[in-house]
Amino acid sequence: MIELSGLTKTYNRGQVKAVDALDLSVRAGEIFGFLGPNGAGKTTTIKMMVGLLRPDRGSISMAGYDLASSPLEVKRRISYVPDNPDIYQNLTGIEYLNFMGDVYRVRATEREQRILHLLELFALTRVVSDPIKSYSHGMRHKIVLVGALLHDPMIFIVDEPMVGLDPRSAHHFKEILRDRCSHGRTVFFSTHILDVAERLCDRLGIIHKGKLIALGTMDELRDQARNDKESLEKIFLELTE
Amino acid sequence: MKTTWAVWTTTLKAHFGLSLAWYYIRRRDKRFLAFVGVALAGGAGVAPVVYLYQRFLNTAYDLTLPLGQTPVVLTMSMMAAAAMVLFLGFAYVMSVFYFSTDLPLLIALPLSPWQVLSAKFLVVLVAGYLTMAPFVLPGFLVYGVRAGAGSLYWLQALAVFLVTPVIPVSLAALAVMGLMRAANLARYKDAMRLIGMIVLTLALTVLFALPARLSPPGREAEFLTRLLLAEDGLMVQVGRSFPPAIWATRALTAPAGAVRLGWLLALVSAAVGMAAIVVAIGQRLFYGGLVGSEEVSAGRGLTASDLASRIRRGRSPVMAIALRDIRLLIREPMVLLNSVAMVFLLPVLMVIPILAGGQAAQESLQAMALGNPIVSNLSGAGYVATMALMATASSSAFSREGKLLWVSRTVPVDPRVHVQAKLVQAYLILLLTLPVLAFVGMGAAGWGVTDLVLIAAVGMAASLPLISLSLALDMVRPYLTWQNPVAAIKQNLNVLGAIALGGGLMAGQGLAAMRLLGAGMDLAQAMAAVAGASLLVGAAILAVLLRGASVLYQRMEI
Repeated sequence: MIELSGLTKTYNRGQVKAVDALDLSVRAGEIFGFLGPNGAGKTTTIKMMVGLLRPDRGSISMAGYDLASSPLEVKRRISYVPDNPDIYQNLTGIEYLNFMGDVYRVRATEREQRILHLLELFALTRVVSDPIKSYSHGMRHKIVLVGALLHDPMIFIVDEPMVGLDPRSAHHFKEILRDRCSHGRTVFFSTHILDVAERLCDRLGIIHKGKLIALGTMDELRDQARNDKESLEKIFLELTE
Repeated sequence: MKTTWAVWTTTLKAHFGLSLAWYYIRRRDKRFLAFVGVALAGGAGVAPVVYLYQRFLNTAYDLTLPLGQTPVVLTMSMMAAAAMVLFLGFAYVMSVFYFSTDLPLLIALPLSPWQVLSAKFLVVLVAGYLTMAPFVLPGFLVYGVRAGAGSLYWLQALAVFLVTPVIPVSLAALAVMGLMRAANLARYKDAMRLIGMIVLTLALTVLFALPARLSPPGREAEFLTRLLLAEDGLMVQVGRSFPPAIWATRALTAPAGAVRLGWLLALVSAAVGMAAIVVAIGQRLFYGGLVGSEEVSAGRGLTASDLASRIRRGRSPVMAIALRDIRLLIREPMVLLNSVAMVFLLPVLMVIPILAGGQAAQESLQAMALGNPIVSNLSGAGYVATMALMATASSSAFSREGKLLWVSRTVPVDPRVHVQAKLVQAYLILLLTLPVLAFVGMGAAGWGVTDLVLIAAVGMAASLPLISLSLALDMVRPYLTWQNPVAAIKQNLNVLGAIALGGGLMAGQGLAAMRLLGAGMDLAQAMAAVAGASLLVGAAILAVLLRGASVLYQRMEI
């Protein structure tokens, strides 16, 4: 479902390698956790996957389409939630959701059904006609999540999904992720919350200094770290030392 | 004092990007060229105006020489500078004092309001020096060189230059702080701020225009004789709206050195006094207008049926993006004031001096417009096209998205559709010129409905190349890293470039119309020909832009 091949991105005229020849494959119906220390290249990778940054080298293929040659086909099938929920402060929540529905061309009946359901789930119904600038950080994050789920994407790419969510919303969000995977959808997310990654993800990748240094299920990572009982936190610390 | 100094220097460095520029220079990073580009573009932009201005001042010097009233050249340049600093000061003070991104950080620090306020005041003051330099320096030069002034004149001129903007900046600061304090008490804060700013700008125009009325009706000859014969008569008349301009002139031109020094001291005392009043009043008003100014009152919630009715059935991506852009534009008061409000403000600002000029000026304008359809019709179409440039909706169309460009970049919308949507939003905003055009044209120039429709259509057609060119400029190199939405317009080179290039295009359109009229074509035919040619040129620019849209859109990285 997601194929990254030789993906490379450098800054400062090639002096800093943010992502270095990254090869990665994520299957349909999988929740994939993308881990790494600050500045390891997680967000750069994600930004290349959603078309916000151009790779220097390598290719990205999602849902069977190459991002470079068929960007619109890819974008119709994915959705992206950034780590910082910066959105239009001067729109109301419902205006933002209608805008997302329009640009993703979500049909009227599905649009109404999904908006009502997701707003209820994330407890946003009461505030959805207020300007987004009146929202708290967590509420902004949730309205971006609702907007991203509106067209029922095949691939859901989320950068730090749990930051700012209250426990109830975080619980619902995890339920949504599991439900999506049970319907063959793919979730790719980066996180620093290792506990969530350990319990939620089918497979994990750890990126460090732009290179993928570990990849696999929890058991496979334990094998790689030659440590068969430790938590993901210990494995992460050992591998990224 | 050490803390205050630290706040001042850090704020100045951050606001004008000095640290960043120095960093680029040290690393020999080519991004430094952007700073050089801004300086060069600014210089190139004002150079023709400065050239014409110094010619005007030289002529004024020649004309006033036989009357012995040459110092009026200095008063005129000082008046022009003060007016510019005040006009631009309102919007700049509001933007720097109340909408800078560093304010949440500064408020949380253990600093007194006056320390934060004085740092912000310094920022506006430095901007004031940059604003007034093109107006004051030619005056100093023309008078100094032509009068053969000595070294003391140049030293005192430097002192006058440093002191002069303090007073208009202080006046702007006091007015804006009062407005913001009052608006903060209101429920609809944004609307209050916008209305307040428009009222302030109009009040200022009236204030400057009314005392400049040359003569009391019926006693013109007597008044003029008195003006020309009295010592400093012209200077006093010109400087009536802003007496510090008279003091500054006397500080540079009074015959005795002690008298000059006395006027300079008076000017300095007035400036220091005004700055002290700003700090003293600001200590009470500044935080009152600032803290909680971004509070937004929440609604009462929606019932399930209300919510369902607000979920739209769907509209095309072009209209969805165009309407999103318009909503965002009109809901940011400072951006609105600096862009769309121009559509209404500029004609009013131009009309007020005419009204202030008395009945004779009004009658002559009306006679000129009614008696000469060439002037009125071309002016009408020209107004629409001018607003296509001055409203800046197209020249900042991509830049205004700033960091939020990530939304547009990640949704499945073809870059060509984004361009089409920006074109639609520019034209929707341009429709706002129609009420003004109808009011002035049908009221003053006696147009019928058909005239109005045709003139508006010609204006809209003439706007196509201007809008397409502006969009192209902003798409090639969008300014996306702004911290304050006003900066997306005010500090955007694309806006300046679009006005410069578009102004050239408009001059070409005007020239073509005049040539066709000169060749014997009637007015309607000439206007239709120019409109047709404009549509062709505009469509050609647009076609090139649409062809390159995918590549250009890909290059926009945030």
